[in-house]
Order: sequence, then C-alpha cells, then structure tokens
Amino acid sequence: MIDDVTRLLEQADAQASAQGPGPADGFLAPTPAMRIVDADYARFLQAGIQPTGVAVRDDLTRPDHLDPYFEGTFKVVHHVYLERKIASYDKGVYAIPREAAYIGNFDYFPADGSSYAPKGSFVLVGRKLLPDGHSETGIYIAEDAIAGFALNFVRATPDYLKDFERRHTQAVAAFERQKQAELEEEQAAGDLFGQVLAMGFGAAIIGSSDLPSFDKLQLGQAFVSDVLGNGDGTAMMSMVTGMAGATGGIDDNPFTGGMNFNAPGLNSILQGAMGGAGTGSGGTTARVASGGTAAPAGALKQDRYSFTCPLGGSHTISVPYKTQACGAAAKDFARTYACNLIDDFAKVQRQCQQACGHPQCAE
Amino acid sequence: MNCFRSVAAAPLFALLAAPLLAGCMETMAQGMVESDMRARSASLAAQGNPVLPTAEQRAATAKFESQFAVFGTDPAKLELDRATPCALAPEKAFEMLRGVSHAEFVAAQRAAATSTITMLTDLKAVRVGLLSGQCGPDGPIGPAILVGSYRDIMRISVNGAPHVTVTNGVARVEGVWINGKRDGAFSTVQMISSNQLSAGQSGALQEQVHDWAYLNEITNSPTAIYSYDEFHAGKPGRLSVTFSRNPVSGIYSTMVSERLDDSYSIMTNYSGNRLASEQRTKNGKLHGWLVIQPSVYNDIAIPGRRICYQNGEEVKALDCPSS
Repeated sequence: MIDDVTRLLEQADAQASAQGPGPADGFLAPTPAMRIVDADYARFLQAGIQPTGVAVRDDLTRPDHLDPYFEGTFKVVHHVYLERKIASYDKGVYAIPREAAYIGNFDYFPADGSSYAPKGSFVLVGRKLLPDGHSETGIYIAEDAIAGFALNFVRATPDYLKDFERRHTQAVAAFERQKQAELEEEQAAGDLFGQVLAMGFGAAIIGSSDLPSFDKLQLGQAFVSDVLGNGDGTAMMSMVTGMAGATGGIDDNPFTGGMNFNAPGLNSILQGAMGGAGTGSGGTTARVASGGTAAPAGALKQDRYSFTCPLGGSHTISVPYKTQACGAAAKDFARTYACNLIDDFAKVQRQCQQACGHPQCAE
Repeated sequence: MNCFRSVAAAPLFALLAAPLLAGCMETMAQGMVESDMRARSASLAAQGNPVLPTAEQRAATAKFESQFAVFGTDPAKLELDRATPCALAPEKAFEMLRGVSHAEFVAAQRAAATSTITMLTDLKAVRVGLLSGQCGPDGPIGPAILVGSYRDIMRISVNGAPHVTVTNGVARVEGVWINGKRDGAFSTVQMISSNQLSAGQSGALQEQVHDWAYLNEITNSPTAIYSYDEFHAGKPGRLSVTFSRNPVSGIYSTMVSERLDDSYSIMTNYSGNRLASEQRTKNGKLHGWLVIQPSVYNDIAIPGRRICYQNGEEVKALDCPSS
C-alpha cells in the first residue's frame, strides 16, 4: 500500500513540476527577507522613526517563506487594555503569499487579552487582490487577532461594522468602569450604556481611507444606506463624498503609486489593479444605493482637517462647508463621531443645528 | 508502567524523576482524555437516532436501523470477497461504485487542493463485483447489489514535511441502474478506515504509529456511513439522508440534505439525537447562515453561533440572505 501511495504522490508532484509555476506561485511570494524587529518598533514608539521592511506574522500552516506579512506605514495606537502605546498598521498591504493581498488603510481596535500577546481586531478599508487578477473593494475585518500571528480577514458589511463599533465601545466602557471601580474613584460611568450610539466611525474610516474616489463613494453610499436607511445620513454622506474628492494628492497613498513596496511584484500588481476606477468591485459592500446623496461639489468649500482620537487613531479628512461657522461645527462634529466620543454627541449636534441649521451640519 | 510506583522508586535520582514525572503526567492526561471521549461516545450512543421531521426522512431512519443491525461497523460483513467480479474499465468501475465520474471526482479534488494539500484517488485500488444482479459493459443492469473498494489519499505538507492520510473504503450499493445510470431509490453502506503515513529518517513514507494507543485505535477503527438517496437518470434527487457511526471516535452524526431546486439546498446535521447545525447552499457553495446549535462537552456549555456565507465566502454581516 505504501509503495502505491508513494508512486501516486511522486507522479502528482512530477506532473505539477512539468506544468511549471502557476499564476499564484509567485504572487507576493516569497515573504521578503527584510523583517522588522522589536528594536524597530521601539524606535518608532520612542522617536517616531517609521520601521522599514516587512512585519511578518506567523501562520502555523505555512512554511516560513510563505508566511503572511504587512508592508507599509505604521501608526501609534493606545492599547486601552494594556495601558500602553503599541505600533499598529496604518497604510499598506497585508500580503498572504500565493493567496491574497489586502491593500488600504488599517485601523486597530484593542481587545482584552494577555499582556504578552496584545489582542485586537483590524479593520481594513481597501481592496482585496487575488492571484488571478480579480480585485474587490470593501471593508474587511480580522477579529481578535493575536500579535504576531496570521490575520484572517473576512469581508464585512457596513451594518456589521456598525455593530462591531457598538460592541467594541461597550467592552471598552465596561473595562474602564471596572478599572474605575478598582481605583475606588467616584466617577459614574454607567451612563455610557444608556446612550444611543450614532453612526460616525464607519464613515470616517471609509472617508479617510486612501481608496480612489469612486470606490470610496460606493462604500460610503453603501454604508449610509445600509446603516441609516433613507434620509438620515445626508451629512455623513457629504462628509464621505467630500473626503472622496480630496485624497488624490496624498504622497503615500498606496493606490496612487505613492508607495513603493518590497513585496514581490506588488508595485506592478497595484498598477494593473488601478487601471480603471471601480475595477471588479463587487459583493455586499458594493451594493450602491441608487441616486446617491452627494452634495454638488461646486457649491461647497472644503478644508483639510487632521485630528487624533483620544483612544488612538489619526485621521485626515476633508470637511465640506458653505459658511465658516458651519465648517467649524462640521469639523467638531466629524471628530466627535469619528472618535466615537459619545458624551459629546448631543453637544456637537446642537452646534451643528446652531451654525448650519441641521443637526448633522448638512447645508 | 505504574507511574506512582516508578516515581516513588526514584527519589534519590531527582534529575531522573522529573522527566519520568512529566511522562506520567502525559500518560495521566491521555488517560483522562480517552476516558472522556469514551464516555461521550457512550452518551451519544445511548441517545439513539434523531427523530427526523418528515415521514420520508423517518423511513430512511427505519431503513438505516434495519441495515445497521446487519452490517454494523464491520467491513467484512459487506462481503466484498463473495462478490462476482464485474469486468469494467477502471473509470467505469469507479463511477458505478461512487456515483460520480472519475473525471469529476478528480476535478473536485484539484479544486480543493492548495499549495500544501494534495488529494488523489488510486484508480488501481478500485475493485467492483456484484452480490446480486447482472453486470453489463456499462455496469449493473437493472436491480443489483454492487460491492467494491477504493482508496483516497490526502497529503498535507507542514513546513515541507508530508503527513499522508490513506483512506480505504469498502462500499455496498443497492439500487437500480438503467443504461449505466442510477435511477430510483438507492442505499449505500460504506466502511472507511485510514492509515497515517509520514516521512521516516530516510525520507521515505512509513506508517505512523502513535505512542498513545487510543490514537491508533481511532485512526484504524472503521467509520460506517449509511446513505439513502434518490437518483433520476444518474442525477441526484431531492432528498439524501446519511448516518455516520464510529463508536471508537464517537461519531454519531446524521445529515439530511434536501434539494430545494437546481440551485438551492438545505442541510441539517444531528449529533446523537440532537440538532447540531443547519446550513444552506447555492450551487454547491455555502450561502446564508450556517447555524451551529449550543452544545455541552464534558459539562462545559459551548454557546451556539452562526456564520454568514455568501456564495461560499464567509462574510461578517447582520443580515445574511439565502436566496
């Protein structure tokens, strides 16, 4: 029996060798040798020096030369559970050699776990590329990832992202309350549960991503229509659409050739994938609401606005407005919702109402 | 080995005692796992078969119970050696036995293969004969009981090291063949057992024998799979009910598959007599919620969960259409 099995396997291997390498064999493979080490992260956290090379994550089912890796820029994120800052992915590619590449803007959401192995979820707004050339724009989420180990990105719908936001916020609030109770502080944190979370986070993630405008519009429209239903998301949509038109000039945009990757073949793959806006967009996230709610661009002024959230994460967005007063309120509104500062939701809505005549700063 | 006596005898050799103790702990842990698994298997066996929701499905259960009383999990009872050989080309013999053409089967294996997984079927291992009925050049003619054997191979490479599972199957297929195609109600009893191979020091494959005897017992114990299907001119019909049983590894699963139309199907799985999971497919791919029911393992409650699939791809969603 063993002889027969050996013979058949050898025949199969010989047949595979005779066919030569398939289209997938060289796709982002092998894992580049230039790896980021702990000292690079320490330098980044202490001095802000961006690490160079690839951040390899271990996949126990793969040989080392095909381990997945991230290449791109990093950002500092506050890990609320570990009570320290960590380096996390910002813009770039998460490559699974021979299988897929996820390119775009990454956000990290800490989760409760061991201090030795930080745990958290990654949300990516961007594109998934496959070895056969197919590409798909969307929101992808890798939940409860453990530092150093492979990420399992799964396509997520906008309503799921909204629910994820709610669960994440509740978990963080519960953790903070527990911490407060342990410190015997008198601060009452119970109000957090009673508040209605409004959409904000998802739109900001989509809007501040480096996707081409067309993709961003599709995702933004899907987000607004899926999450809010008709009529409620006008201001957010104008925020997203405003941002959509303003990202072409960013130097390190992975979609405009501004980034130069070491990942084997990625630069040319990206060029090919970006041949046409909206190439291969599909799936749930590309369900575009007919009759989009984008405001006429010519009627609005636009400001670039950068901010950092108290719990981590930096965003640069474009804020469309007609009057200076409304623009200022809109910036506050965008920052508050993007950072999910739920205690301030009511305040910024009042500001919007006063300055723009609309609770979401729509003019 | 008596762990406690051996360790007690080595107090003067602390360095020796430490690994000995570790070995004992491992043996004790294995004993506990084996005991738990055997208890779980006995518990599932005691539950009996699930009460399926329709009369048609319950008829399949009744048929299974009568056949299981005859064949159980013993491959010898399928009487492969008593069969009258049926002189068919290997590919045709494969199709008669397994209900799918060799080309389709190989294509499905290739589609499921990855850079680290190789799947093959050994056409030379296929052997068919009849216990009743008549054999023609295209297979059985009319009502017949066909028995045969087959062998599938799966190699998983972990860091370049091959781990090979060889599955040997014996099947007894009873039904009516018209023009070489299955037609009408069919019952299929299969007994499968496996061997695990890995590379020895020379690099050549050799049978893997575990230190833990229970693992070897699980690997080698046959799993009996009883299927009740309908066919129309070789094409699968609306309902398929499959019962899998292996008292050693604790497999007591029942799967009901209903084709809603040419594209959509619903599959319901039971473990013991309890509903375990439900899933829907579209064109053979998972589509809609995969619902896994809550369960209890070793007194630990395992919560239920649901996973959304759309055209075979997992999607994180709150709504998950199955249409």
